Amino acid sequence: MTTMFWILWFFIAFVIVLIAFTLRKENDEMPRREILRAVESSGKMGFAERSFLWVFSWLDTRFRIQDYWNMSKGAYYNMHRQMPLTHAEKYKLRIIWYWYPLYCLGGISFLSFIILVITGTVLGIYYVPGGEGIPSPAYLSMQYIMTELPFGYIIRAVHHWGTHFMVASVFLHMCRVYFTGAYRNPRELNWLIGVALMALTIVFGYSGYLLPWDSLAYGAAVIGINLANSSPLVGKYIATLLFGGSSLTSRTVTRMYFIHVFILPVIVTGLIIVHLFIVWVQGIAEPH
Amino acid sequence: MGIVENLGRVASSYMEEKEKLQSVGDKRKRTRLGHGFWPHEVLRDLLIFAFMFAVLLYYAWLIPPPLHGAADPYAQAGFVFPDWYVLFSYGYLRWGEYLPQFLVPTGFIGEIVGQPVFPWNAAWWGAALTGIPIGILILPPFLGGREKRPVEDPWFASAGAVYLAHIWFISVFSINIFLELYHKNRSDYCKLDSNADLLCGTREPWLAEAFNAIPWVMTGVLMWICIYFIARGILSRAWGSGFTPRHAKQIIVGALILSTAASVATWDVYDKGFWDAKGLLTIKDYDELEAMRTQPADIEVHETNEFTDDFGWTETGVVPTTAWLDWTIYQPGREVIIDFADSNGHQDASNGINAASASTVLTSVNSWQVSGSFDITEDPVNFPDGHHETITTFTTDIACEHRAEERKINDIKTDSMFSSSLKVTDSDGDVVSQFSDCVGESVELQAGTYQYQFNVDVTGPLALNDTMAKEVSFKISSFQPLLVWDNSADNSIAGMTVNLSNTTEMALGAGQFGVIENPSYHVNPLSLDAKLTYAMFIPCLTFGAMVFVLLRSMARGYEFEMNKCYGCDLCDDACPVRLFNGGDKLNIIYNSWNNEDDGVPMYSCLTCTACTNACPQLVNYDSYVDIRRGLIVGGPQAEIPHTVLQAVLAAEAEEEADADFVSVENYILMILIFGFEFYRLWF
Repeated sequence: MTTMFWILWFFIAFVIVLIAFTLRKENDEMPRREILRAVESSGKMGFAERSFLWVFSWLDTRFRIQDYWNMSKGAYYNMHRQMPLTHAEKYKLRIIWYWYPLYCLGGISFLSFIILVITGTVLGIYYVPGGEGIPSPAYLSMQYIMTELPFGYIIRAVHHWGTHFMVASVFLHMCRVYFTGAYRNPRELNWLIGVALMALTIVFGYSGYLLPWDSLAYGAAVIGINLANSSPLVGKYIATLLFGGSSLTSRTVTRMYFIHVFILPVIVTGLIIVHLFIVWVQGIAEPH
Repeated sequence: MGIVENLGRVASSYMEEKEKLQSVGDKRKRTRLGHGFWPHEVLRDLLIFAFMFAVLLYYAWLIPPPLHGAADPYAQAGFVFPDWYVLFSYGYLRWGEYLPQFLVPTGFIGEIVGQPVFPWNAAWWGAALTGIPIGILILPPFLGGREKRPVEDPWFASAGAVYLAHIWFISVFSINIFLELYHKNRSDYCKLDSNADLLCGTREPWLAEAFNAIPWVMTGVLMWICIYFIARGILSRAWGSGFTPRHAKQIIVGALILSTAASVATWDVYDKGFWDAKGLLTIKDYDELEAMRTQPADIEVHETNEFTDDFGWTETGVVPTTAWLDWTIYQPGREVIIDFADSNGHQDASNGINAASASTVLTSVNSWQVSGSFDITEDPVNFPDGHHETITTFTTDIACEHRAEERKINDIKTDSMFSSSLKVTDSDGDVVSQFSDCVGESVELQAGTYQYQFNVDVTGPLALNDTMAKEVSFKISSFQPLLVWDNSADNSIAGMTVNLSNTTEMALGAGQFGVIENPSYHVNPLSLDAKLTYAMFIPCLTFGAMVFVLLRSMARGYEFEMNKCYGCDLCDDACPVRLFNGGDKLNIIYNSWNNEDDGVPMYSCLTCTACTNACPQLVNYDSYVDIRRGLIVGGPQAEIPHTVLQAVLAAEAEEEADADFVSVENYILMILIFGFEFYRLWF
């Protein structure tokens, strides 16, 4: 105890000394105050602007934000300069307003994803990914969430319905993209990423379906593992990879939990970022 | 120089070239930046988000997520119901059960991974077929041209429609339980559970009937579309310009009548699960179905629920035969239900009526012969009014049995120490059935008198053993149609099985009974799966065809035609009339589409086709003018002479016609008005 105590204080002192040296160095080499004064005198500045400027300059003196700032500014303006006007924009066409709701679907699936991440994080705190015994710890923790945990049931309900929202809006989003021809040149790559995202969304849904480890989940797991086992040659390896064995065991729940809360979120989040970035770069294919 | 430097050089020279080219097109600079992020976009997105979250919370509150009993590997497999978005996969899995199954040798690779033979079974069919609709989504970007609007490229939109309809059909029809629950009129549907409790339901049948009918109705629509287009194609080719829109309308009506008639006439083919077409793979073996011997019967139920009270069964506790008729498959191979349980008591072995039997126990004697005759009867006392009209032959089971007290003597089965023969001949002496060693036979016989002869010999060690008992028996039973008291019989026995040996009941019923025509005759027991298979392929084509027809008709409308305009102004330059009508910011086609002044009053237009010829988007503007004029003047469009006189005469009509024109902006108003009217009428 005492050893830890001294180590902690030593660490804190070390950090303070580091900060002091940094600030001293800043004062020596970077005329930060002068720059600040110059900026402040350039126009009227409120409290928000003042604080922002202080934080911005503080970060800048340490990380040379100015480089990235200029770079991203250049990229932003370049991108916008390169972006061709849409057909509707260029010729001031009447934009067909009743198509607009269909253009929210991608956003709705993204929002559902965010809701799912938040509620899923809360559920993950209380969920126990163990399949040993009848009833299993997983099932008992689900019972706890549903019956005892304050707001537990409603959080699970939102997670449950958020899934349906997400899958439905992903499907409808794909329909919209397909039927407005938005997947065509130059947006082929984004369509392919979208297909991958849809498949992963379904896998997300399926793996989440198994987590309560109730009788329904078990039945679905039996069907799933039969499908995986039935693949030629690699069947049992696929089953082992996804279900933790060529038949259902207590490991299955743990495996599904890992896929559901670690592997899939990482892949899906990455793909969503790329997907949205491409949309940002290419612009939305507007109705026309 | 390394490859990385090379690539870098290529990239930087590409950038230089591109910059050179782009500096030429400075026009491409964005001039209008769209809506502001704040507050427009932020507010709009917040609104949508709030709405979505409200709906989400509403559902979360209304329908809580389920949590069933804990998973138990040793429990009986329960009701598995996948989430709606994987139902299509479930459907393929179900279909896979009826597809051919193989054993594929996997060669040396199989040896390595420990699977020398790969079973291509239903599960793999399901998995592989699931891959198709998902994998096929990779293709669209690499197929087709660059047209974005479905109207311009109806093929890709129709393909998408077929795809969606296919997924919808397979999802809905994969849940057979759904159709089973909704299929029958649940106000008349009961089920006996394993505790002999009778459970009846009260669901209205219309939803089930509607879902059941969709595939066949869609087939009719497909037929309609096909007949129309084929007939129109043939006639317009044969008659040339003699073929008018009026003829086309007549073909539409004629094709509708034809296809409706055909659909109605063939409804049973669909509803009975494609019996003659092997149930679309669901019937593996007809003989098995033909040989089915289940039958409805009076059943004493243990307990009933409140819905059974309506039928008046709770008092007696006996649910009559007729009540069970609609609920299960019985003898699908027979038009008349046969009394295989002899619940009518047709068979009287002691008098040789419809049956014969004898048995004996041999001890010291080593052989037994028995012969005699029996009648397959049409006794007018028991079967009045020609109840056999619908049936010409009677299923007759002929069987015998012999066994000794001990199963084995000196390790030799006593069974093999009998030799027997059973022969049945008809009144002419022709043999109708003959077999030895009691293999048994089931034959179809006509009414008449038949002779039988049964010989048994005991041989070997069994013959030497004079103390061991040997039982020998034979039995011939001929089955009659099942008889049920009809409605004119006494109320308490109506619908019940006739017991011919119960004289009180016979007196009560006063001979008011009849045979039952089989409602399940040639009904595929797996008709729901047959319908699934059917729905996967044909009705989804209808949806595609409907979308195609719709898009083609939209493409003929001038609003869609002129929406191709991108305002290049070439028509304006080409127009000889517009020159005199001044105005600088005018653009003929573009302004017409926008419902604005295009600088060419309708009757100043010469329809000289200069604009059409100049248009890079091939907008046929002069025929648009023709059509607009035709709308105003009326009469057949092709015959309008473009004269000034008619123009003057029609000038006033133009004003009125414009009052009927609904501009795009007013669509929202129209929808609101219709919506309000609909709401008012409906609620």
